[in-house]
Amino acid sequence: MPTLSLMPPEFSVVRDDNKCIKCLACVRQCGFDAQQYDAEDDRLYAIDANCVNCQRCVSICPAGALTIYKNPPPMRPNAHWTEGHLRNIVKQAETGGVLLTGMGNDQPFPPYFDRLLLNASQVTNPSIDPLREPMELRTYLGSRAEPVSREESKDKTRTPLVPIETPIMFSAMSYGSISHEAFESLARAAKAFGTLFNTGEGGLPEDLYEYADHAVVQVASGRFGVHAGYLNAGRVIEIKIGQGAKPGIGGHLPGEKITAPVAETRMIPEGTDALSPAPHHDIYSIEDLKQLIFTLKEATRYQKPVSVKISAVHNVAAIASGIARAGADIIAIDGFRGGTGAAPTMIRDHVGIPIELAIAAVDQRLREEGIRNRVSLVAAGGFRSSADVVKAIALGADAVYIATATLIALGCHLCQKCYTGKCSWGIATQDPYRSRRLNPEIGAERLYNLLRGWSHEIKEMLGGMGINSIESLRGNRLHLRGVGLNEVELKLLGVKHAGEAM
Amino acid sequence: MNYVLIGNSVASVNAVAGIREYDREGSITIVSAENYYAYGRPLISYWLEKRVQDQDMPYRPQEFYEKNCVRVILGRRAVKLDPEARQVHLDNGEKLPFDRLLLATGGRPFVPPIAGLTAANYFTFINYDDVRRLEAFAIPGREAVILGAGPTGLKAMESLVQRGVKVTLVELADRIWAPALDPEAGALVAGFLQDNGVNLYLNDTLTSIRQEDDGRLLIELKSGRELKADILVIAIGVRPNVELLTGLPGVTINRGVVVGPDLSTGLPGVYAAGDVVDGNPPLLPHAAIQGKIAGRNMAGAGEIYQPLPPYNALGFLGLHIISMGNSAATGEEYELLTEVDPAALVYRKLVLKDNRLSGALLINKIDRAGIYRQLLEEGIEVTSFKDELLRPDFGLLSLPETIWQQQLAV
Amino acid sequence: MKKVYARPAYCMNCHLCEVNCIVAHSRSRDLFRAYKRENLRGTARVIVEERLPLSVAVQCRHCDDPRCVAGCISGAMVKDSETGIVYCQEDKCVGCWTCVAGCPYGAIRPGEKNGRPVPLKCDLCREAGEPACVAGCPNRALVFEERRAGA
Repeated sequence: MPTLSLMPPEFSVVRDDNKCIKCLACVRQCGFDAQQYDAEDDRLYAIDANCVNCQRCVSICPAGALTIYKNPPPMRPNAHWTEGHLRNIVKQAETGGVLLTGMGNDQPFPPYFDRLLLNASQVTNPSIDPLREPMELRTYLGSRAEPVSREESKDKTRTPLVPIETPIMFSAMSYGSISHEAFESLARAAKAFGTLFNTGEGGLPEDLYEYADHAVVQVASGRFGVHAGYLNAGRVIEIKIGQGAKPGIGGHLPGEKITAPVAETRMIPEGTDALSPAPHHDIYSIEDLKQLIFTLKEATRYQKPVSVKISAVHNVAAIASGIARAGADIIAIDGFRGGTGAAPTMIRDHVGIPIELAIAAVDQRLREEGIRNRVSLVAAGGFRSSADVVKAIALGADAVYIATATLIALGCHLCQKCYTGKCSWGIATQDPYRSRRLNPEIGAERLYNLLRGWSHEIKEMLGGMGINSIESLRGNRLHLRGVGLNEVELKLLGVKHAGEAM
Repeated sequence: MNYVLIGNSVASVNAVAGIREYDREGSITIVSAENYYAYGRPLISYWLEKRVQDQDMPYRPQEFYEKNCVRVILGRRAVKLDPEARQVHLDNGEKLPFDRLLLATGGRPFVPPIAGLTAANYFTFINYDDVRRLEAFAIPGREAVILGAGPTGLKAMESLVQRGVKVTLVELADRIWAPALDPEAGALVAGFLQDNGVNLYLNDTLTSIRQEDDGRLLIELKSGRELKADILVIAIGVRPNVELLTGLPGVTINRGVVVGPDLSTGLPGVYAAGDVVDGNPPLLPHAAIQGKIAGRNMAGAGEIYQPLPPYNALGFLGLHIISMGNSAATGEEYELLTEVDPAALVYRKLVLKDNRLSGALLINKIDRAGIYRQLLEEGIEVTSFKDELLRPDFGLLSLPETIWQQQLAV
Repeated sequence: MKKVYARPAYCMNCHLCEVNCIVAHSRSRDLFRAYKRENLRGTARVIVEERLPLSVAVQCRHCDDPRCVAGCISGAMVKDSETGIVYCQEDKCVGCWTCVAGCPYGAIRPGEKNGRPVPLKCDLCREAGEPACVAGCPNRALVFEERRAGA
């Protein structure tokens, strides 16, 4: 580190001494050593430069004595040379390294969800009150028979459909990138609500196999933790090709996070870096993908639907078509807002396309090709509310994956320091002193509440539109209108502009 | 069932509680030689200092006796036990029939023969009446000599000092409270006392007392030193009150009454608890625990009393001492762990034998002391956490996980 | 009886149980007054022990045969025969600290309040219902429940 710091701290920790009772909870809870106590002088103070604004101290302080302020920009305001650019340049001038970050793209790209509005029934068609009338949120994931026949299918290679009680699943977050406590919270909530969680690429810890029936078990390029028992225990198998936060590149879980239980689950030596290659080295074509899909189906006697997860990239529709034809039952598409435990900042912030456009394009393409029934489409990447979910389904998704929202429900304050392993909230860490802060009982309850709230809102929105089943909304773009979108955008999304009639 | 409890201190009161755990019906009678409902004997020094008032002396509130249907006979002495007739004779001629009897008569101060000693010119320091008598004499500016620097003498010293009396302690041993304090701790406490204006004569005792014409006492010590004093307190120990059982068939009396593991004496239906029991350290916790168990056994419980090593907490003039087991031990066979900070008057010493705690002495830093007591009583091997024992944050987590897990699950 | 049980797996060493205990046992029942006017810092009746990453809140186990009650010279320490709660009638305490020597868990600390001795020990907030440490534990590392039948 240079002797002279070219950048002032990003945040200031301000303590109200009138309120502070010196209980030292902040010092004990700060994951980044920003809060300090001098026992000799009985004095609390902060090292502002260490503060990442994770708000743990603010939340835990029983006296409400702490506030964290964002410091003013370190130089004269400049719309081109933003603070973020300046800080990045200085950091790289000091380290010479690739900039790393965590969580999803935080740049001000246009959020299409916020430019889409939903319809509601008035006079000419009745709306439905979900409290008084049946309302179906259950949806089935997998490949549908074609053509539909009264006779039992003779096709022994058909995998079963998987019901989920709400069109919201928990997206992939590996054990290793998140704590066992966070992982368990997701598993418990998924089971309790009747939906699925996703193991991510790190395998399923032995003690959580009781939740396997609600797990999407991932097979990624590193093949960590993949064995026959794992594949057969899960409900759905997912081949991870790409991740919205870092399309085209692999993963790297540093050795410090590979603790003994993580190593055992991943089936790698303790303390070694877990490197996921950028591509699967056995997949260089759709045909290769087809081989893996059927290898997995064979290994599980065609009892598990296979999902293929890709990042939303420019050619997503054609790729999705290939995946559907390769025999996948589910295609999961992760948009450019998708989160990550660690990614190069430049990749996260500048690669990939918005999920709204990707879903619309893929749904449209598969319909045009007459193969939409062969796959379920799962949208992922930055879903912030039940309204985002409803809009994605209206654009053509069967269901969505949420992850960042679940972490926020568990306490995450989006400080984007997941890659340091120091998470003050016990989520993105393998340090037992930190991870024990997240009691999975509480975590599971909070996640269950989130699903419950969102599901209830989805029912309200469906009812307003006069729809009594989530499956009736899928791809029903007439229920969407754009605001402030240009003609190309409207065309790609397949929606009319607000004000246009049916 | 007819229960008669002779003696009215903590052993008796706890026996009542013990009986009532098993027998809600039987009649219980307590015979008390004193005119007071039970009070903790150690409270008398606090009473003398006026830190405790009359109304706070009772060990249990009046409701305790009502709720448990206890008849209390105050100011009567049991003079004879008739094992054939199963009766106790009181000093007023009343005869109390019993099915179960508890002897909890405690002890009385031992007063050695000293030339010139008369009932009128000395005090003992053991019961309420002692301090009530002493109160009138203990006025500021007067001088007192206390024979014996054990816990009783030290508490007497404290209360007299607090009343403005100038105190001189005379102790036969080479240090204060020799059974509990080793020489180093003894010296530390001696220094503390001297800093508080207390005179201390060790290796010395009284040889004669004479009342001078001015009414003051002239006290001659073995060393030849002469002391003038207004008050003389004798506090060199107690002797068990065993008279009621002396000579009865089946009863063995050594220093005190010998009891079986269930606290029964050799006489059918007759139990003993507290200071009267042979080999029992004359300490309040031990009396209370024995009383409770004796009470349960009188009602048919069949509980075993595991003899407990002594442990004691003693505070005076702001100094706090907790001692347990072989706290004064020195010698080759012991391993000593110590922490000494003379400036802060802190002294902590653990005595280990065969990697087990055999004693502990804690002065002025007594937090978590009970954990040591538990380790000592249970005879737990401390090898694996020996270096934890004197850490400032010593606690349950210092112990092996199996132990603390079990303790937290209680 | 219902007791407070610690679940060390979820104890995150925040020590808020101590803070909540102090407030619950203050005159004002107010955080700021308790600390800033009544000066009660350090008088918690629960002790958070640390051997990081492990930490655990230790407090009175309300024994069946409590040593603190047996050893109390003034009769201040009692076990309520109905609730099973072991507590100190503080105005009767003389501060001999035999209870400190007696407690096998080290769960009683010598303390002081307004110049009077006070044994710092858990009374299960007997006048309030749910103990403050449990109610305020952010991670449910403390639970208030019945575990042994008939105990």
